[in-house]
Amino acid sequence: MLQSSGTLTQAAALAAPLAPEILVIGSGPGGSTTATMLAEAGCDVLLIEEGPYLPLESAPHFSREEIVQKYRNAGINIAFGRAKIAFVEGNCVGGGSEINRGLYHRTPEGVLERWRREYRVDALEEDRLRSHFEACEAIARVQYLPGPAPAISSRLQQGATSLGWASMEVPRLFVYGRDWNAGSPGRKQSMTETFVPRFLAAGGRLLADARAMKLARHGGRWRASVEHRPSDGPRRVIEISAATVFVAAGATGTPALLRRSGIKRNVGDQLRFHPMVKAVARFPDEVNLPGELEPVHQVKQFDPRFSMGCSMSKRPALALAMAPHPDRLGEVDADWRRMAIYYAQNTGGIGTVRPIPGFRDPLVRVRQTPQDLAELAEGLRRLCECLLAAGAEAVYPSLPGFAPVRSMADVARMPDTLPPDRASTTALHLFSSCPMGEDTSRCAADSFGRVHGVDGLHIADCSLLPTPTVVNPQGSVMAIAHRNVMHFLERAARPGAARAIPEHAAAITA
Amino acid sequence: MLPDFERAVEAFAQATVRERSAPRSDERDPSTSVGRFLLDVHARMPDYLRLPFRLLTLAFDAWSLPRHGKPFHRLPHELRIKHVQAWKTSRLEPRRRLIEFYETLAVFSLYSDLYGQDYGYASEQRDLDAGGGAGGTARA
Repeated sequence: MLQSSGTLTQAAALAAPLAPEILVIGSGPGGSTTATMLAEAGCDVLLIEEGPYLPLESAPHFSREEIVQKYRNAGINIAFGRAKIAFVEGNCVGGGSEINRGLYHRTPEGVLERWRREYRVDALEEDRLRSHFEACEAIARVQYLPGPAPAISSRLQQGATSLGWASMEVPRLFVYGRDWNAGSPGRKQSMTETFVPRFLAAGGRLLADARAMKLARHGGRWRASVEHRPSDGPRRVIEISAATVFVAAGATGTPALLRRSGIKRNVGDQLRFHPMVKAVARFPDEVNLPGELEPVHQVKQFDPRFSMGCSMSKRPALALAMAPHPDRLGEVDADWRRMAIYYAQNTGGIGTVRPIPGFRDPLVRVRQTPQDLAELAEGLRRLCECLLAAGAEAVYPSLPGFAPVRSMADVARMPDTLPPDRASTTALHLFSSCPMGEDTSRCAADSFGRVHGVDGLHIADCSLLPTPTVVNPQGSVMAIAHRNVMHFLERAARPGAARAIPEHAAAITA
Repeated sequence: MLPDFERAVEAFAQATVRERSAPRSDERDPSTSVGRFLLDVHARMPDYLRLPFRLLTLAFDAWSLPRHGKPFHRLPHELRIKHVQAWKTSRLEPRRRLIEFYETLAVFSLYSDLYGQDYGYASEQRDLDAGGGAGGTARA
């Protein structure tokens, strides 16, 4: 485990009552951003995280070792329904930022407008959010490619261009090396590389391997029952008392914790996803070359209905994506350098999150409408069309029962919808399980993340985003968390309050 | 002679590895690491699914007893493959799902072994990772 100044050992965690001024539960992009800003403002902050504290490179990306180390439930998470969705969440310090590819977008104005209109979120105009994006981007390090796009990426772009479709290069949370094209591509950025070190440097305390089981209010303070399971000691249950709590345990973890704590109003009732179908394209020449940078292009022609992009295409991922075509797995062995994975995703499906008495993990259910599935099927057809236009000689939809696609005639024969029992979608992005806004009939928290009708309790993660972001959500999660915590600090700094706010934050909130 | 969850999973890993003669980066038998990965995933899956999967796996192991007098994990390779195939094509969805679950993870794990060969990732590091589980690669 990482041990840095500010991290708590088991002995320290158990030695004395833990009673910080502020407890932040969850260290993903929302929790880390919140905790860092609070610590830099001089608050006494304890950040707890259910998973371990590991270095970014503790395992290669998307390897079985990474899945066991850093994915919640080793990646086995299912939203049950007629058409199931398998989803992935991080479970380590840094959360999802440690396992994603770090593709970065600001929230599209159309999405912000919808949040303002449908959920009555105050003060969420694009120009008011800009400074929060800029502040997070400066810390999180967002960069465009320093040179030509890798082949997997440029093929998608070529296909889109030849069809007259809009496409774009997406920046990443990445620091590209000076010798990026000579074997030193640079370094992916994540919370453990950026916000968490700042948090610790500012005096924040971090307790990993600590899962909040329940929150209760006693004598004007929150008391969290926390299960601490360090790798170097026995499991213990500890109590943490705090005046203020920010919950950032993720789109399933946050509503599960709140509901276990008796806070249920509009909590866990509208979990949303970006369901994704994948396809493997085989090209006549090599595109999947070791040492190349990660692909970064996305097709935006059909946003917000559905979008397309490139997936991580290393050989284990290719084998997994070809699982619906077991008789063709040999092609992965023979031709993996000519193969790459692409996806189409939409914003369909609405789910619920419910704790199950006696069990740790909540039950997640989802309902996808026939229109949702038809939209995904259209996305898959368009993706095949784009890849054929990019020169692919065959495209294998990663769905059972779908034949290889080799021509536009094959595309025309593809089904108009995905059969629910074979939809086989996955989701890397989850949101909206505790939406924010002033519409108390549908929102769990107010426009700045304070839980409606509950003192000293805030939500600070993707659960707050009222609907899917359409784009990769990490930028939105960080910026909204930054905006909300600055609002919290600003209120705390008003005359009569003893709190100062950080210098850079003062400029933003002014 | 009795059904055994761990041995059944390890036997499944051995059967899958022998069936998929993927090119190897070295001479090590990958069945052990594949079996360990399957058991690791089972130990970490949502707790409300763990017991049903365990029971279904035990049923899978015991299914060969009436016909062959041995559980799946004691069968020779050829009979293991037939047994897996019978469950894979069963009309009962839970049987098909169980095989799909283990087979997908086993293939993924098998190809993860090729990471080092493809991308120059040190095999010693992989051994550390696999052996030490979540804390195995800790950096001081």
